[in-house]
Amino acid sequence: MTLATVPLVFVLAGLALYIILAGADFGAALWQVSAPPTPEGRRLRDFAHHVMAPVWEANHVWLIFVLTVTWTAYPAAFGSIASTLSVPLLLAALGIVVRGAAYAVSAGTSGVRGTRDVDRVSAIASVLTPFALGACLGGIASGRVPYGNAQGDLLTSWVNPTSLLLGALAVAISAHLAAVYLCDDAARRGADDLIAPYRRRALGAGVVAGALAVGGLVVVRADAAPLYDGLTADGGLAAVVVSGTAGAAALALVARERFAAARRWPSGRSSRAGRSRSRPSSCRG
Amino acid sequence: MMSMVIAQALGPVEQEHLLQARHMQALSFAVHIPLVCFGIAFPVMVLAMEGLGRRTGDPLYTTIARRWSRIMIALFAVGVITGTVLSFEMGVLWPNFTATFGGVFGLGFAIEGFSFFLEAIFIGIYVYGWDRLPPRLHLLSGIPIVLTGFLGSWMVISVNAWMNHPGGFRLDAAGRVVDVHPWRALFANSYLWHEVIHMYVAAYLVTGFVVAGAYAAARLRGRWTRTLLATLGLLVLYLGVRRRRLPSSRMFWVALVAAGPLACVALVAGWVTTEVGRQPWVVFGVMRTEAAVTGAGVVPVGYGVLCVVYLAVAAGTFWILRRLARVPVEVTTA
Repeated sequence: MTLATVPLVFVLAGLALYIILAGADFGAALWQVSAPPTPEGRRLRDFAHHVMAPVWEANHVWLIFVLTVTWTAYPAAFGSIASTLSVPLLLAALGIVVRGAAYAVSAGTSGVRGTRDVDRVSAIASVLTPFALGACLGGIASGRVPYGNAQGDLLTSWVNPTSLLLGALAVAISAHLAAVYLCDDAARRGADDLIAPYRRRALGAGVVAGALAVGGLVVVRADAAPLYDGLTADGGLAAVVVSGTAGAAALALVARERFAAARRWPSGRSSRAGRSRSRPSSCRG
Repeated sequence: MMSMVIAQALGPVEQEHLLQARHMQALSFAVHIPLVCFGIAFPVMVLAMEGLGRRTGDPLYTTIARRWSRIMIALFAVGVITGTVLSFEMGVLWPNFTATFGGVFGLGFAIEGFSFFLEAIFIGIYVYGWDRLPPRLHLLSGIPIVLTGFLGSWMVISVNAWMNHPGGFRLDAAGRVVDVHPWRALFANSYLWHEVIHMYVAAYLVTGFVVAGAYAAARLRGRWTRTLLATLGLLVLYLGVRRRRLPSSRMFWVALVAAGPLACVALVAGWVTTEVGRQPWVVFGVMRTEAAVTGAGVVPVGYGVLCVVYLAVAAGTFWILRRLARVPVEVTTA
């Protein structure tokens, strides 16, 4: 490792934390809005809100950390990325604004009608942000962000097979992480009736995320050959193997209702996601 | 000084919507800065109330502190949102600025990010810890909020002072930024101290007048409670009127109501003076704003969307504050 790559380690650590912490929050919003309009559905919604509300604003600190370290250590790369990918970055910011506003509003609406509309809006935002950020990573990883001020295509730099794949994967991982956390929290706080529904959601989203990750390799191979080569050799291959093993282990633990242990496994998995995705940016440097 | 032409890190740029990009940035700052004032001054006021409650044993002060701490966290949450938008805009709107000078001023934002992180943690501990922490520890947990609120905004102002009076680097023969000394750039700057002091005084004025104005408006509407009386008494003392009794003339109360929005206008006008006064430079005498802007054509759409979203956030914030003000907080003895 050279001195020039040291800040990259911090960026990746921050990115992994952001994916794990904020991802779980965005995923929780997804489960809030998709909860059925039944008493059980209401309990699921309220519980997700109750668990996430005290921590959400601390999560975005990691994104700000990633942004500031990147523009301090790699200013030219940051400027190139931010200008070419300005559309998805603005969409991601929009999602964060709406999600945050929904939390702020619900601070004044505890137990009031209208909470459901707030949830609905914040869920749309919660799909938007992880998807847009995943699409940005896809654009960078597939080599669609050239050096310079908005020198890449404003649309195809983030609407392309790799970006769509990583966007969808980011949403699925968020949903899976959130459901695993919520299972564990439901078990800890004695909300036993919520464990089974969250467990179903954790398994479903985990299977979808796994299928996207494995099936996505085909997409990446066709769309971004250098990325595929990086993922199937040496360190990249090791990361893919660790990721697959950790993901399968997490699913097995959730299936056996060992939530606290499962909660640790997807973490390893997400940091893998951060690592493999940002690999090309280290190639660029 | 540096008089040669700067080499833009990302190359030259054409942007027909420069004015919209500047407006979009200005809107984002104008929305964020009143919240920053609350971030600086409000924790001090909340802690003062809690401290008075502990010293006098009057539960009224504690009740006010509890109510204000909920407003504090709601405003902090809105400030996180508007602050996140600003950090995106630094790259999305001004990529050549960050690309050329990120290594010079980035340190300030890195420290700001760190202090913001601590602030988020302690504000959570403080607000959610009212009934969970021993009273003394609870009061102590508020002190890091005050310190980090101070540190974070100090760092951002150090970057602004550097933009107004750049130093800590050199341009080589090709106009590239070399010989970078971030600490010197940010903290050995003669513009830093008057900007910091100016901003902190402004923050206390804005927060004090906005809070006083809100209570004065309630009084004029006839919602006259003991909470109100105690708060106003303290606030008016705080504003420098050293009388025990509050003035009774209606004009005084009307003036106090007007003082809140007017203080915000003065604050934003001050920043307009600072920012527009530096034009056409983004880094005074070194880089022009038109050289810093993005080459992407998304500016007008982004600006439009931001206007709509901020109108909605403003309406939502107003609504929350009204609700928080109405919900009766039972007088506690803690």
